[in-house]
Amino acid sequence: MMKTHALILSAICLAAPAWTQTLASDAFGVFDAGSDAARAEWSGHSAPIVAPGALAGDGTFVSPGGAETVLIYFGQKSLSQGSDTALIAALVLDRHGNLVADGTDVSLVAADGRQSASSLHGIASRPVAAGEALGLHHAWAETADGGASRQSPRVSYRVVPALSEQVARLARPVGPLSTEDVASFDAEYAGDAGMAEFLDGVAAQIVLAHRSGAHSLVPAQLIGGRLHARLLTREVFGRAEAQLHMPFATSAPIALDIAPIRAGGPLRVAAMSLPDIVATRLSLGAFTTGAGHLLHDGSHLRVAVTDAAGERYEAQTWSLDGVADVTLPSVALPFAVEVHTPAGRQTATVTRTEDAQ
Amino acid sequence: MTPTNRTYRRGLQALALAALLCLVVVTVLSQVAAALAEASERDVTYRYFDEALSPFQAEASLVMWRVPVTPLDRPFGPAEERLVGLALTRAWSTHAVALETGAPLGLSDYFAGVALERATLSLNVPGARMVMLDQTARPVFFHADGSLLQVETEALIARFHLDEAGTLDGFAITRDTTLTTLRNDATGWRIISHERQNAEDMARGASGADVFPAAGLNYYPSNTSWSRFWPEFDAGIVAEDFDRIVALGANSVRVFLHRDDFLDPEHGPAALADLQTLLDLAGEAGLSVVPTLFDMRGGYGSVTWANDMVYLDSVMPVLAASDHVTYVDLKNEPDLDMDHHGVGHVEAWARTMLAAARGIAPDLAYTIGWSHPSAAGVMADTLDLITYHDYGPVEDSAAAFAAVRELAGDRPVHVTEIGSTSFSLLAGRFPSSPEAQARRLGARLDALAESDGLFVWTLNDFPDPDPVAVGHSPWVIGLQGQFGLFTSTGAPKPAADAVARAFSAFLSSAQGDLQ
Repeated sequence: MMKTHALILSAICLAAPAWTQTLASDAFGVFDAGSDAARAEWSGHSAPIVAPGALAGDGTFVSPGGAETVLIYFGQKSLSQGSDTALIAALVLDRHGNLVADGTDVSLVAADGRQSASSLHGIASRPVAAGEALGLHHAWAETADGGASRQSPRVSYRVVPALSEQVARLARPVGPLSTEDVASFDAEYAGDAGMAEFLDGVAAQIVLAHRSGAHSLVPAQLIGGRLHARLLTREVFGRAEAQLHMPFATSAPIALDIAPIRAGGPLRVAAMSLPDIVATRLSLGAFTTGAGHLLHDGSHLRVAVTDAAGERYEAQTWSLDGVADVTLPSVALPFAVEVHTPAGRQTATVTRTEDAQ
Repeated sequence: MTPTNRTYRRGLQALALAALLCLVVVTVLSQVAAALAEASERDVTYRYFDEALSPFQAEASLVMWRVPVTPLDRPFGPAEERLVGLALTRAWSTHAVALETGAPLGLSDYFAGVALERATLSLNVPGARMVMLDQTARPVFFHADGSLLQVETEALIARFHLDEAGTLDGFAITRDTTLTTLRNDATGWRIISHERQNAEDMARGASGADVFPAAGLNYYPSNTSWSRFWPEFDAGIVAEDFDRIVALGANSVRVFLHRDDFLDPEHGPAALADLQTLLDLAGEAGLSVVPTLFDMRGGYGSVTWANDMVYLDSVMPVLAASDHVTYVDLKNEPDLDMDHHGVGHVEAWARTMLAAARGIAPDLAYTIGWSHPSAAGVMADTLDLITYHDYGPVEDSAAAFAAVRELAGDRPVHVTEIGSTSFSLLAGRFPSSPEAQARRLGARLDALAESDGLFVWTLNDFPDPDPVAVGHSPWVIGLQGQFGLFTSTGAPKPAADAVARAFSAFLSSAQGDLQ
């Protein structure tokens, strides 16, 4: 009899798990509340799941435990000196990964000091002031809720000079800028001494106002504390006033001179006779500059020729590939040729011609 | 009988047999071809939603946004609403799919940290399912640098459990209040924490609405059946057909609201307007309407349930506002889908949609049109009336009805589809004829005279039945095309008269019972 009862009891006990599954719902679905102890620690609302049509029981709310993990979110990572602000936020979790209870006290530490904030939905946050101290700083969050102190990883952020403090003074070049060359410019910081320095990557622009009324624009950038601006001094010469335009300030103008181009050699003229039309074709050039370059295509030329009979002929033309042609309605050699180019005045005498082909 | 007559008769019989054999061969060949075509379709697995879904579906965010109550550290505007809404929609769709498949594929795209751990662990419960149906969210924290976001969400969620046999052994539909924390990672917004604050049970019982005796017709116009009905809706034809229904002595009409026609972003609004027109026309004719929802709905995958909600949100207000809806048939013959999609899964879907529909229109009565009386017990605990279809042997109808009547208790029982074809292929008699149709229908109506509602399939013959509904078999097309009480040219068949007499007797008796 006892043996039979034991057998029956054993059978019931073995069969029990099959019909005592207690289904429950939580944030991530359905689970067996009777056997999943770990999941039962997930905070929040859970409720029984019953067969369709049956009455469901009341739900329960699992509260979170004390703080175990502190995560930190800090941004922006680069603050302008002065009034700029970032936000430090701590996400605090208990040992099961649940958000901690509202009102958990969290210390939020940055270069502007240590301040406490109460958590709401697991997050405690406060603004961080950039302050005046330039350089690399660190921030973190910590809480002593739950007994032991828990600290977040440390984040770094940087306070950089404010853009509005970027003021510069253009350095005056020693002597005139050489022509047909790449000229560099220098600038020095002109803000409050000891307060700031050039901010890397600031864009600027140098504007040259030429005596002719024209303007040249030179893009510039401040990198590594130095001004990087390059001007190709060609087609611009003479006296000019230069100013450096920063985002919030413009430097005082400085006067500078740009040397003009010079002719690279004597005027060369080749004459060809055109007997059918009683004329002479003059081939002028090649016109070169002192640096050995051809004159730009389209360079304006004024030509004046006096022939042996004393007749004076004038023409205006332009260079192509450094040369220019004019047709003279005269064959009375010799010709006294005078040419005005951007490189100045040049003269030559033509005493003979080549026959026409 | 002379030898010549005998020979002649034998020749005719031989011809008839040969014709029948040819028909059988053609039918078998066409069905084999269809089976081969189906077998050659391959399952395709997609890695990302926008590869698997149409552009409309892939870009659909199912999150409604509310204005923050307290100021945020960073503005949360339309661009953020769209991006975060998509992330939340896809996160829970991915989770639902992962629960179905048991594989965590794609979870790490939308979950991280503690939430990813929990979402992955949730897959370890065999048979557990969770489907997010709609979400309304309000930002409560947004980091100044856009890295961290926290939203309070109200969501309608179905959770259920399928046992080892696939039967539904646990079900709940709740409106949850949750707190969701998201992190803005390089690959997009990911949920790092998700906690449920509260849950309200949204399951509702029967409304108790009165359901009056019904004698009615299942309805499609002759030339625009099934998938053509709403795109080619013609109010004039519908009005004429409704007059014909009334002339039969009917007081009800059962119509079918195809889900995709009402979800289509381009044609949905027109379909909704046509639904209102149909209801108005029914009212003018003196007919009550039984709208059947979700017809021709393909598949029951969890990822599509949220779109079903959009469909309900669209059509239910129109039905609820009408005085001419007698009750709502949630789904036509879902029991036929149970073998393929799982008994429990289909039932869970039906219970979810029923609860959702009741949430929108609680005062309407609801039923499900089961294909067979043997299925009438499914969800009987929660329906306002029990309805089923009866195409079985006429001699079994009365007994089947009695069994359904017993499980229904004091709730009405309507047989919402009975019918017989008049299709004749051989000698005007095989497999049926107009006269045989009239006899069978009359016998069926007699057998079910004790019911509370009777609907005949269908008003009209279909000269070109929709192959989407009936397939491509010439035999089936022939049969399905001639269930009407009227020919495709509008001429009444003998069955029309039989039905008119039966409806008159039925409604007279029902009115007598009511008095």
